[in-house]
Amino acid sequence: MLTDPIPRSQSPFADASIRRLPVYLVLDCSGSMTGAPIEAVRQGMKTLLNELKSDPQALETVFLSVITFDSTARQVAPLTELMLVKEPDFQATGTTALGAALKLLSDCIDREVRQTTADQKGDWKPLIFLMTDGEPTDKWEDAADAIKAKKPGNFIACAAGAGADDAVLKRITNIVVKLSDLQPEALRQFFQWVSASVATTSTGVSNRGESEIKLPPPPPEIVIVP
Amino acid sequence: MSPDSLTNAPDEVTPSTDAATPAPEPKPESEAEPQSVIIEMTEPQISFDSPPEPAQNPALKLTFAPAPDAPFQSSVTVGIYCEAPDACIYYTLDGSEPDENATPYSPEKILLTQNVTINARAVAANERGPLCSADYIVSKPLWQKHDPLEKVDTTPHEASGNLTAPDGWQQSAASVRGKLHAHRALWREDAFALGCAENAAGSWSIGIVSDGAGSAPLSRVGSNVACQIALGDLMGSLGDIETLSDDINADLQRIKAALIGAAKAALQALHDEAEKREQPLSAFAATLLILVRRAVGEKQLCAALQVGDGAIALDCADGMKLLGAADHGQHSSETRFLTTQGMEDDFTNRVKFSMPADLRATMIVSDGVSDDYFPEDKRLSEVFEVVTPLAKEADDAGAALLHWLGYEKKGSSDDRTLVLSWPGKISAIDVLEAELSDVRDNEAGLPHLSNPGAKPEFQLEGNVSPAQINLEASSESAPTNEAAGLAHPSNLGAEAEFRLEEGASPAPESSEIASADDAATAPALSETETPDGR
Repeated sequence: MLTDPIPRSQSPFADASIRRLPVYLVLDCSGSMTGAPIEAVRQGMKTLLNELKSDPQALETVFLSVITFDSTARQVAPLTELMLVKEPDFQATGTTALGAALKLLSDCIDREVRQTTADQKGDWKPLIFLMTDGEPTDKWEDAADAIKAKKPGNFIACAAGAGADDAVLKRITNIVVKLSDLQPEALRQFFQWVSASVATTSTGVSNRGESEIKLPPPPPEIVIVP
Repeated sequence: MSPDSLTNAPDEVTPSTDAATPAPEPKPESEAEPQSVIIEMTEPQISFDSPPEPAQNPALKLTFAPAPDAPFQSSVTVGIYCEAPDACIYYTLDGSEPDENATPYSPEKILLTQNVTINARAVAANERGPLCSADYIVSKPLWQKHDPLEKVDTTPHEASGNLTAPDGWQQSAASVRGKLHAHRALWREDAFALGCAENAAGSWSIGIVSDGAGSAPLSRVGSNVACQIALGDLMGSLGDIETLSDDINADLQRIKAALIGAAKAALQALHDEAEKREQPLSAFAATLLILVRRAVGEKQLCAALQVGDGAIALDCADGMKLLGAADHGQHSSETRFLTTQGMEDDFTNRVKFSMPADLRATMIVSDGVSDDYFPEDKRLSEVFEVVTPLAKEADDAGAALLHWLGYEKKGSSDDRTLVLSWPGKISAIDVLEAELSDVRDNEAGLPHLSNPGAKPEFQLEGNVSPAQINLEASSESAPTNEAAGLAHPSNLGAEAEFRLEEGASPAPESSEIASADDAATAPALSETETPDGR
């Protein structure tokens, strides 16, 4: 016999009045990330979790999901209350199935993000960060067009390093930033900026009344692609 | 299988010392290495009335992951692992002995949200392991309270007040700064205003709540200005509505015009403020929720205007009804404000009327409260059940509401404001005078007031509500035409009254009249919740 000592109904987020801020991190773990870059992603993820978990507002609002993609795409962390999110295990391997990642992202959002109904408070608009370091290797165009048309949330795409093509990302979202290289410091800055953006947005949603979010200014390592 | 996966998916894990297990990725700061967990092993001195002791096998020791070697923020999910795959693990969280009557451990792990000592023991075949325990420290989210650095347009972090209307209805209000504003050293942006408008024919209670938009830098100015200006405007315009005329639709139109006029005055004041300070109007974005109430015969005429989220609710004997609706978008953001483009033309669509015969209390709340009771149409009644008794019993009802507003709820960090109104107790002398007045009115051949809205059956004669009593009492000196106007409410219950508003609440069907006792006595105080008791 298995007994869950904390019944689900007592989970604080079972309350239909709670609005969550869903945050999706979509991270390229293709073979080109091998070595220092993937290690920087691991460290960045750790830092991001630590910083957000020390922010009481984020702790009470943010739900985080992580999707990684290489030759395929998978959701390594389903949308989970921030304080219960464990660092995913990142391995760099394979090619860059961006199309599959976008398709999976769209499916996950459809499945996990709540719409407002008569009995359920809808989630805040999801915040999506996508980071990729290379050209997609699968059929990504249709998935990109579909997600741009769908506008599932505030979508920030990051072209990391010289191999990434901002034109590809521009087809996904209007908010594209560029990391000049894949050096650990640049990736660290990126994750820190993501963390700050999530924290800002979690404050902003309490303020509501804004359809567009205001992101904190990026550090010098991150250039906004006009 | 890497050690980290132990804490990720215990149901897939068969911890083993197999040398073929791939080495984990080096992780400099990796937390919670299960192998390195130091387990406090206590001799099992506790002996309950257990049957013959099974043999103890020290090899059946347990591993806790993550290790309890540092405080955890907010919560921690703990897995317990035994190297013997077929062992059952029993555990307790209350310090008691984890015998076979304790909770069996499941692969779903244990979610801890407070400081807890886990006592656990493995049991296999005829053996049991040593008592293993772990002390987990779970620290609460570090909400802090800071004063804003910028000392301009200062607003008290909390405010409360009480007001008794001439007809005996009480109004109390309280407003508190939300924990997010406190944490980020920002000002409270909610505001409220209470008032009465009195004239020979009766008295209006006016309650107003405004919630400044967090994204607008001067919204605390906006919410305060909106409340004050709207109140001042209504005290004038409603005070001018002395009589309810023969044409009830015309009366409701006048009340509606008064509400729209107040909203327009508030908006104009924000325009003026924006101009004066050379700021955009949007810097003062704020919601506006107005509720006015007046006794009309035995009934209470309630009229509301709502711009933006929050809620206006009426507690009636047959249930709670919302008077107004918040603007919810797809993702429940993008609320409307007084300052929203085109709002001025939409005021007319936002006025709602209701006239219940059995009104027990009214409430106006900012979304800091109503969001916590979503869906409001089903759950705001819980607030009435808790706060109405609190307010009635308190010497200072505003202070009692203020205390109640401090309730803790996860994910709820907004400013909270509540205006509650309920019929106060009427003294015996008032009742006596009113009865005398009633007799005089009847002797004067004036129309009967005791049962407005009902079919013209006057068997309830003499069974009058306190609200009506006061109404009549104050009409004593009124000119004849006003008395005649007061008489007219006998039509008010008819559906014609509400054809004015598309979205207006339907006329209360019930023609029952609450007895004076029912109306003047507190509802059953069966609710024994504490202020935080939810």
